[in-house]
Amino acid sequence: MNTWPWKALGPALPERKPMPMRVKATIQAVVMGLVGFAVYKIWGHLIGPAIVWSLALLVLIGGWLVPSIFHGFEKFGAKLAFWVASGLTWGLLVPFFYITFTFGRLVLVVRGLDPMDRAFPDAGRDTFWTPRPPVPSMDQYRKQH
Amino acid sequence: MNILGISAFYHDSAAALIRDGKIIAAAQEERFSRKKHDERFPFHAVRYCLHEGKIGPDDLDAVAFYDKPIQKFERLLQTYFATAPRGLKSFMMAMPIWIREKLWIPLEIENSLEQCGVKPERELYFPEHHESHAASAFYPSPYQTSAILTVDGVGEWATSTLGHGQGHDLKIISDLHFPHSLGLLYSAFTYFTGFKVNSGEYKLMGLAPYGEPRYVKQIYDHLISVREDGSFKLNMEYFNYMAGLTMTNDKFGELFGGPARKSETDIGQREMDLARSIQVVTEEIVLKMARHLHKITGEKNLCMAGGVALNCVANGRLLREGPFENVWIQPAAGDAGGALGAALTVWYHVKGNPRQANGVKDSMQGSYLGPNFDDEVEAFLKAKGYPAKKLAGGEWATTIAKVMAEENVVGLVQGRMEFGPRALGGRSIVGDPRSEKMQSVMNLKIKYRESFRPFAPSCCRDKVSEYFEHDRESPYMLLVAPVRKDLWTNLTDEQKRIMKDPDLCKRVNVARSTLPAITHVDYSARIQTVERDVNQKYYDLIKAFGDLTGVYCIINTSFNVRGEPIVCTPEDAYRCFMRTEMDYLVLGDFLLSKKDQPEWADKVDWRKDYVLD
Repeated sequence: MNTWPWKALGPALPERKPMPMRVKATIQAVVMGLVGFAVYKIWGHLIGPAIVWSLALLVLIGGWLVPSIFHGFEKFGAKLAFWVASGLTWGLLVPFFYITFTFGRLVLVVRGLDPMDRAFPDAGRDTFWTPRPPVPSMDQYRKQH
Repeated sequence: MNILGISAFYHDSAAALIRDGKIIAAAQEERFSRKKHDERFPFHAVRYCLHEGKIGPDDLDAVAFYDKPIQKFERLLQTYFATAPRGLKSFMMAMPIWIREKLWIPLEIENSLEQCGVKPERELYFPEHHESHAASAFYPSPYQTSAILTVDGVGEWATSTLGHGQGHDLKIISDLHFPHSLGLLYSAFTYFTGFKVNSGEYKLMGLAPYGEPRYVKQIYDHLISVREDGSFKLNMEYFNYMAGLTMTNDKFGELFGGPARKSETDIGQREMDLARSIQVVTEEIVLKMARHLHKITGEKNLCMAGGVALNCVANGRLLREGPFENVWIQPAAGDAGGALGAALTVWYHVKGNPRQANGVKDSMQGSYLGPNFDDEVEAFLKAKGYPAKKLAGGEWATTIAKVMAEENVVGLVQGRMEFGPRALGGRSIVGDPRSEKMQSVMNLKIKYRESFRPFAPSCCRDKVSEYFEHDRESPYMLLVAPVRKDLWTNLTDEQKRIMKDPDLCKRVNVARSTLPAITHVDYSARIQTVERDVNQKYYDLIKAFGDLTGVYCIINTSFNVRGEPIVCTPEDAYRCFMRTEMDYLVLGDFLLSKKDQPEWADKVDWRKDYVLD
C-alpha cells in the first residue's frame, strides 16, 4: 500500500543500497573457501572441504553468470538459517523452561508461597489494595527496574 | 526543555513531544503504519513529533519510556514460576520477542533518534506504567488538585491504582496486583463473546444494552471477590491468561453454558446477557473504587486513565452517581496516552517544575495533536487529478451542512489529527442524525462493521442539554448520557415486539427517538460536545447544520473501515472514500463528490489490507 510521502516526515531518509549480487557472491564464496580450508587444515579431511569448495564455486558462478542459481542458494540459506534458529530456540528454551520453572514452582509449593496471591475468595482480608511505598529518589526514574 | 515520550511493545504504540510542559505533538504509530493497534516501536510517530516540534540535532533534552521493562520481565518470569509446568507455549512466544527487542529499549530509542537526525545521547527515563497513566490523566487536566484513578489490563505488576495529584506532585497511594485485573476480566468476557482482545472491548460495551444482567450473580459467586473499597481478587481457576494463549478456560465455559463464541458467528442472547452482566459488574467496581478514593483523598475532582477509563458507559454512571463533582478522563486513556504521561512525569514530577491549572480548560488542545495537511490538499488534488470544489469562508460549513441534510454520508478530514481512539471532527465520517436509515447504511455500506453498533453524536456545547440529559463538557466522547425523554418516540406494539427479536439488525432499525441514528437501544448516546474556540470549523459545521435543520447535532464516527486505523493523510482518506459507499469527501477546504471522481482503479478488497478487529 502506498503512503503519501507528506512533509511532516521531513526529508526522505537516504535509502540503503543493497549490496550488488556479484560482490555478495564473491564475499560468500571467499568465506566458504576459507571455512573449507580451515576444516582441511585442522582435521585433514578432504571430502567435507571439497563439498564446501564446490558449493562456493557454484555460488561464485551463480553470482557472476547465472543469477537464478545464486537466488536459489540465497533462499535455501535463509530457510536453513530459520530452521537452525528455530531449532536452537526450541532446543535451548524448552529444557530451560521445564528445568528452571518447574523446579522453581516446586520450591514455591513446598514453601507455601504464591507470588500471584491466588487464594480465593480470601474472606479474611478486608481489602486487597496494597499500599505503595514512596519512590526513594528521583534516580529511580532513570532505572528500567 | 523538550521531552519525548514513547509507548511501545504491547499495543497502541505512540509518541508525544512536550516543550516546557506544553504539549506540542502526539500521535499513534498505527495512523502512519496503517496497522491497527500497531505495537512496534513508533518510529513514524517519533519522526512526526520531532518534525512538528522543529527539533534539531541538539534540541532534544530527554526521552521517557512509559514503563519499566525489567520489572515487567520479572513479572513474566514470576508468572511462569507460578504456573509451570504449564505455560510453555506462552513462554515460547514471549521469550524470543523479549530477548530480541524488549530488553534493549534504550538501544531502540537511540537508533530511532539517530535515524531522525537527532543526537541520541539524551537523559533517558522510565516511569512506571500506571504512573504514566496517572500523569496523563492529572497533568493535562483542568484541576490543580485531584484524586486519580487508573484501571487497565496490567502494567508491570499493577492493574489498578489510586493516586493523588497536587500541583506538580503526583503520588500513587495504593494498587492492585496482577493477575487480579478489572481490565483483564473485561477482556476475558470480550474473548468469550467472540471479540478480539485489546480491540473488541468497546464492541462488548455496545452490545450490553441489548442484554439482561442475568449472569451478574454467577460472576460475583464464582469469578470475583469484591470488597467495599472496590478492591477485588479474581478466581484464577476460571481464567487461562496467566499460562495460556486464551483468556478463559473450559471451567469458565461450563459456568456460562458452553464454549466461547467463535468470531464472526451469530451473536446470541447469551452473548448479549454476558455483555450486560460484565458491564454491570465493571460499573459497580469502578463506582466502589471511586467512593473509596473520594473518602481517602477528600477531593472533589477525579482524573482517570487506563483502558477501562474508555468505558464511557461506566464513566457516565460515575459522573451521575459517583461522589466526585468533576470527572476528567484522558482522551488517549489507553497505552498510547502513556507516552504523553511519561513525558509529563519527567517535566513535572522528576524535574519539579511548577504547574498551574486554570480550573476550567484542560491542556489537551481538544486532543488535536497530530499532523495537519490542510495546506497540502490543493497540491495533492492537482497532482492526482481528482476533481474538487474549493469552499471559501462561510460557504464551507453551509455547503457541507446542506449535503448532509440530504442524507449523504460525508468523510471529513480537516485540521490536526486526533490523539486517542476517538475521531473528534478532524478525521470523521459525519451524517444526519435524523435519518432512520443512517445507522444501518453507515454500519453496513460505509464501515462494514457489525450492525448492532451505535453511532455517536457531536453537538454544539451550548445546545447539548436540548437533546441529552447532560449539561456539561464532554469534548472527548468519553461520557454516555440518556437522550432527553421528550425526544423519545412512542413505540408501537409491533416495534415493541421487534425490540425483543433475537435478530439485532431488526432491533437496530426501530427508531427510538427523533434522532434515531445516534440513539442506542437503551436511549443512551455517547456525546461529544464541541466548542468553537477548540475546533472552529467543526463547530461551524454543526451550527450550520442546526441552522438548516433545527438540530444542532450530527453523527460522528471515525473515518475508517472495519479493521483499518483511522485515516491520517488525504491519500488514506481518498482511498477509504473510494472503496466505500460514502457520498462526499471533505479535504481541508475542498469538497469532492463521489459522482465526479474518476473510476477507482484499485480493485483490491479492503479486507485483504486490514485484519478484521
